[in-house]
Amino acid sequence: MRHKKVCLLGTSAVGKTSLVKRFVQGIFSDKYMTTVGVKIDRKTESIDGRDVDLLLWDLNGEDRFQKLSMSYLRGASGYLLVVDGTRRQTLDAALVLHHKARAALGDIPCLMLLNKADLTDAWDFDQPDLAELEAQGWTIFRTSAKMGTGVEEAFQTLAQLLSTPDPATL
Amino acid sequence: MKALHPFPALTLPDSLLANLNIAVLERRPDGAFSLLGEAPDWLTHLLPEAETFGQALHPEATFLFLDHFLVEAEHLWNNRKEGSVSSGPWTEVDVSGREWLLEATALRVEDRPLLLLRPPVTDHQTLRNILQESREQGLESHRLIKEVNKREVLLHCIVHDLSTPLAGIKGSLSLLKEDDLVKDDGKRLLQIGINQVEKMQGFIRQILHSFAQEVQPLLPTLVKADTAPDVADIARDVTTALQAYGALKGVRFRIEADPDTVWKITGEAMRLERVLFNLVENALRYSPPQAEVVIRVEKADGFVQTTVEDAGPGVQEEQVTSLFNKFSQGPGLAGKAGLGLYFCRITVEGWGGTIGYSPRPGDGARFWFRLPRPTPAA
Repeated sequence: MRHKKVCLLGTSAVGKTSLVKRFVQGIFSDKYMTTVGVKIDRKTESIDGRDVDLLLWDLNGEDRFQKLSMSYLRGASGYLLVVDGTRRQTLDAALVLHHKARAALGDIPCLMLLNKADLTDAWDFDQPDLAELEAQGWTIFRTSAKMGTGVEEAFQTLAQLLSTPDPATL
Repeated sequence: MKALHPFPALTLPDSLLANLNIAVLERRPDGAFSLLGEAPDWLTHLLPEAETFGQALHPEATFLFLDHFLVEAEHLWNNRKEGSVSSGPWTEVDVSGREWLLEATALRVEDRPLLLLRPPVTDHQTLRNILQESREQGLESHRLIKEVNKREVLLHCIVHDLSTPLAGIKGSLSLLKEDDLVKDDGKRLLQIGINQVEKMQGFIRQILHSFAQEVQPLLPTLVKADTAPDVADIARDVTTALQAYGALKGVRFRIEADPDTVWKITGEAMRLERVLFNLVENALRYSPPQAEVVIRVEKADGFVQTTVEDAGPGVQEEQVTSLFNKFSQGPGLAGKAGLGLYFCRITVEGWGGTIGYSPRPGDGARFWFRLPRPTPAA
């Protein structure tokens, strides 16, 4: 079975841990628990009849308190860039991380997840914003770790990209 | 460098490192690890095989993160480098779902490749940053609460200013409409005016409902005795809330209220508390050190009168007439909105009471308000 290391990147409190929890265990908790360092989970996905063992590296969010150690990224096959759809400034932080990851890992598959899609009243992105990001080459998923919306699809899509010999990346 | 006076050999008890929560593992030539000394409790919990003495251990099979870190560790061990390399923290989850924060350090001591596993040692700088930020946020949230309160008072004032003339306009239009001198067309136009006034009153109610759930319309309220607030109780709550401020200034509070009398009044507890809070806080602000602020509750012409007295400089005569007006600021109060006493007035008057100021004999200020007693319970 092939093993693929997938990192979740994003600033603090965007929902990285909740996304992993939803994807691996199918559960969600409203209680916010900040991640220190890294927490690793695994889940096997079947892609085109072949099993892929996804090692999901849930990394601490980077902010003024915690810097992301780039050594955690070593060996990653792909990553998910997580943005809080109700806090626009988390996009800027995510893009900074994206550039760091690019410098460390090169051109590997990555997707952008606009999380907390259930909080429609507080949603901070409109259609032109998304169109602009898509024009820049981003594949974007609107996800809700709370409702489960888009979560399986996002991880599946990345797993698919990791299984493709010449993945289309940003 | 050779020591001129070598230290005596140090023999450590096997349990020392385990008691410090540190697991010391030595890398063996076959790639497995041996545990040196005793295993700390957390290790035997997460890696039960560590309890068996001499067991070849493969912690990286359980701790997936270690598999990643061992690449760096091997580099240090194989190159026989001095110093150490740390993994940074990671989290393990046991079968019960409990999380364990761990950290690994690889080092070479006397040519032996060692791996130390332990819960991370507190990083005081990070802790300080977190405390700093928490405190800053505490201050910010405090500031926001104050700001929200201020806006709520402002909202009260705006609503009051809008609703009071509207009631007058509506009354006048209604009277005019009943007048025989007004013909049919005039009555129709007057009705349009009345409808518009009612519509605006509806808007005001909507504003109150949307932006200030706790704010009740500023109209006389029919309060039953069983739900009415007791002004003496409220006075005690207010002095308790201001106790720290009072202690800072060395000012004492004294409440004079007959304990055998029930001091219920027409009004609503939360706003009554704000009225009294404003008056007592003002009194405290102007009191000289070691003085006393007196809150007196007594009967007066069928009403309940509450008086707040301080030993401060009092209010200058030319300020007395505008004291309860909007944006009226006392001396040395630049930056304050000047809405506190105005809020007190519109609230007390809204409940059918009166409020006023009179100089205190000798030195000081005396603010008072009178409120009707509540309707007896059915």
